[in-house]
Amino acid sequence: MVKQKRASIFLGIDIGAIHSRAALFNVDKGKYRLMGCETAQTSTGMHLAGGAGHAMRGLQTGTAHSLLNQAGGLIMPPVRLNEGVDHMALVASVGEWVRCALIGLTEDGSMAAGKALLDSLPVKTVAEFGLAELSEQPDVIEALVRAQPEIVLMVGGVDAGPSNTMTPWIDAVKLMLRLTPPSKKPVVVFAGNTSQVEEIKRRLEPLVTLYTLPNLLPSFEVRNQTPTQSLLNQLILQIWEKKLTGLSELGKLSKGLKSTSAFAHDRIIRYIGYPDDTFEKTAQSRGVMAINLGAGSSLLSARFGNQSGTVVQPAWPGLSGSELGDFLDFVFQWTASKVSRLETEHYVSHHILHPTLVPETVSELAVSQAVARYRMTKALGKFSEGHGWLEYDPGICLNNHFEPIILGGDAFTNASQPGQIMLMVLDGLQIRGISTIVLDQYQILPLLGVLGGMEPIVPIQVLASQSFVNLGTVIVPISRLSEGKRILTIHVSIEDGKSYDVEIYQGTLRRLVIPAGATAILDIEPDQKTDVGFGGMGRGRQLKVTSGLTGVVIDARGRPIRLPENDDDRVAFLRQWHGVLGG
Amino acid sequence: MIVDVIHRLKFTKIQRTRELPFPGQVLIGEGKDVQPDDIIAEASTPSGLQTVDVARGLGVPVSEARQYLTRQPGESLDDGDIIAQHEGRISRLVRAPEKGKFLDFINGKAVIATGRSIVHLKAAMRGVVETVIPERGVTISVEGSLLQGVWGNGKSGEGKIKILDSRPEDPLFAQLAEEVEPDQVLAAGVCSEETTLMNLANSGASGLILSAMAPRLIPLAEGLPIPVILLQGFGDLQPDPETLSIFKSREGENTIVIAVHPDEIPGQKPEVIIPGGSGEIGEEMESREELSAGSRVLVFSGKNRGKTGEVSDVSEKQMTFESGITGFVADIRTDEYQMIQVPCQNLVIIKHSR
Repeated sequence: MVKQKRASIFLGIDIGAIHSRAALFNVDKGKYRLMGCETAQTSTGMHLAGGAGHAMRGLQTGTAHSLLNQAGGLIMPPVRLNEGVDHMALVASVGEWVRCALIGLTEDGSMAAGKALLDSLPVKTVAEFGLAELSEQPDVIEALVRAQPEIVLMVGGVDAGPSNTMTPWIDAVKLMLRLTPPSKKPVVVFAGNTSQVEEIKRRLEPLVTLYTLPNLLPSFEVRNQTPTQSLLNQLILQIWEKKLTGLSELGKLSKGLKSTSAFAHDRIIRYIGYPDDTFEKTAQSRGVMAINLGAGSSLLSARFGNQSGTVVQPAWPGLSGSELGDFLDFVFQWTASKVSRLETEHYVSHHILHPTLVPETVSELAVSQAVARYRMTKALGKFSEGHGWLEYDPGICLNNHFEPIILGGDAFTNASQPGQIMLMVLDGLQIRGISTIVLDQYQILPLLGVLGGMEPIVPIQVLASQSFVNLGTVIVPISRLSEGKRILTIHVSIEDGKSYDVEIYQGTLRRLVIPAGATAILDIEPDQKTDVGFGGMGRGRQLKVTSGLTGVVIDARGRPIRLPENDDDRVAFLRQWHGVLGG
Repeated sequence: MIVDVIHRLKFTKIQRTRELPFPGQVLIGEGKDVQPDDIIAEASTPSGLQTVDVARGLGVPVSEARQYLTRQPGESLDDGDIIAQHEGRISRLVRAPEKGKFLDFINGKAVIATGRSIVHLKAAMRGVVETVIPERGVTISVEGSLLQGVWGNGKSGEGKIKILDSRPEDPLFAQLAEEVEPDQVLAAGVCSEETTLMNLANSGASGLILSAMAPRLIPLAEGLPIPVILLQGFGDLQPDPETLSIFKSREGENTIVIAVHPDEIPGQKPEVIIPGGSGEIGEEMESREELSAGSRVLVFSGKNRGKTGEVSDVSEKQMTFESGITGFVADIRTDEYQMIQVPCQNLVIIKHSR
């Protein structure tokens, strides 16, 4: 008899800007499950293993599974049942964003691809030079030296194109390297025209650590982002490991099973959003999206057919930047509480200074949830800049259909009611059509992105478990009918035998109360001037749904959602919507 | 729970390291006194780069141009120096366009740096050079009062400190500027009006130390040529009594205001240094510390925002706040003898001298 191989036990460690998490994954009843997850404060400025260790000690208490030996070291591999783990995965977002310079050619080609790539990782772009700057090469060289990048990313030239287009930039970078003191020399990554690889190796390798990779833009229509993104991910981790005490030790324990949170988030969405053979880009096609609004950064990853991408942005605008005014205006507009503009400014400015603050009062929670809406709007806007396939009209609506939309991060998990989360998403993303909103309540999605690289079944099985909470299905009809007109009729048949009809009127927000977890059949009959996302105006269909914590939500408020100008009316509207969804 | 620490020490030893962004030359030795504006180190990089197309100038292929160089990379050049020459039926010359250094010869082109860009490192404080870090910078130390703030406008300056006579509970008013003498560093309460901030800045003052300021004044404060530092934060937060008493006890003395942006230098907060004074030197200064009973704290947010007091207990179990969020809380006896409960995450420790 062949002895069956024992399933591996995984420990996941996530070192965030504010919190460190420890999560244990093991097989339960034949399937991988999250056995427990504990959070501790990240020991920023100290040894990072401090915060992680605190979370691990909590985890071993909570799960009755020993992780640490008496000396505090990780038990790996396991020594007996409920003692030790086989592998440790590490994701981190705690480090200062890495300084990166981008050098390329055409604005719409290599520069756009390079920018989209850098937007997907925790990097600060300190210099950007394309074809237009080539004529001012000496100035560019000086600017590059002054910018002190830690990484120089060189892109440009399609593979079948001329074999010398990047030569002037190779000259410029060579000179920049000569002028840069040894201690400040950046790493150079070349992901341009492959016919220039030998030339760049010959000329730059004697001066610097150089990586050459497949072309980021092998032809005008195709982006090949993953190899360069994967390398940059590792370089960022290496830079963080040098700067942050303790990260290197944790990295060694992971034996390569490590990533920045951003890259891991991107990876898991690429993985679970992988289209089946039948995927065609039609009005009904659906992609997958995940948004993480953590204390330090906002992450948005999406996959739609064969196209995917990620953006990572700082959680807060700077106090001195030009964005602050617009940010404060937006937040004030969307705060569902009677707070003055001044109070909003005070709270937000202190939160920017101290990102660890938690909303203590109901008003502060309302302000912070308005901030979450802003972060989603900004992340979507940035995403659409770098990914032309995303059909997003900033401030109006998101036209592509994504199902599910997975939410993570303190901004969501801090919400006291599921309805608050649902409303944040509807207002922040302004989606249309039909979707299911899922909450990653333990914030393990990035960890699953890393674990999936070793054991692909782990994310599949854990994603289907109770660790991910179904908040509900949303239906967002877009109608040409005026406010107050009936735009939709839904016949609801719940599995327990109950059934009822609901009429939906333009300008309203409705919640269909269906017990969480129950299956229901919805017969959706839109008016001839109403589009529900079934392929055009007036098209209806039967839809089978599993109800979530907020039941099924019908958002017929129109797109864009318009708020009254009068402050009292605006707050009354926002509160009324909260009331509808049980927020 | 580990929280940020703000130091408000009447007498302590302050050590600050000043480092160049890249290696250069340290201009001062150990044991020397420095003033805030003293340049203590400098580094330079070539600038004013010019490229001279030698191949084109000589009319030869790029691959052959190097052999006609009469000067080599690394050499210094004078204006008009011949850098390449091709003796043919018609002799051709290429000359240096300006005085400079021949940096490199790349693809038939000579790269010449016609200048140097120099980075100066200032002491930005008064004190004694304790350690020289070769090629990088120095550690300067001074004994005196240290008052750290939470926000700065990125500038620095010095002058004799004057406390503006405004009642703590009232915002500053513009007419106070009339009492100011040139080059004074002004310590005051809450500034909520543009006119007041402008009048104070235009009064000849060399720095502003405010308890708090309206957030909408940030762009204005950032544009001012003098340092502006906020000790408590934004809004209407009042200074705590100990901080006020330190200022009062040092009024009229020379004061240095280093109003760095909060994230400008990792770990460094905007701060006010008043050299001199006396007392027992306190313990080492940590920028983050475990919150515990006895910690003196400032409440940064929530319904008790701006209150100061002493922690009497830190909960071991998480509690639910009014917002519905759960977290650890601290029991605090405020300076007004109230007992309040505040989420630990919304506190900063204010460290005073013992």
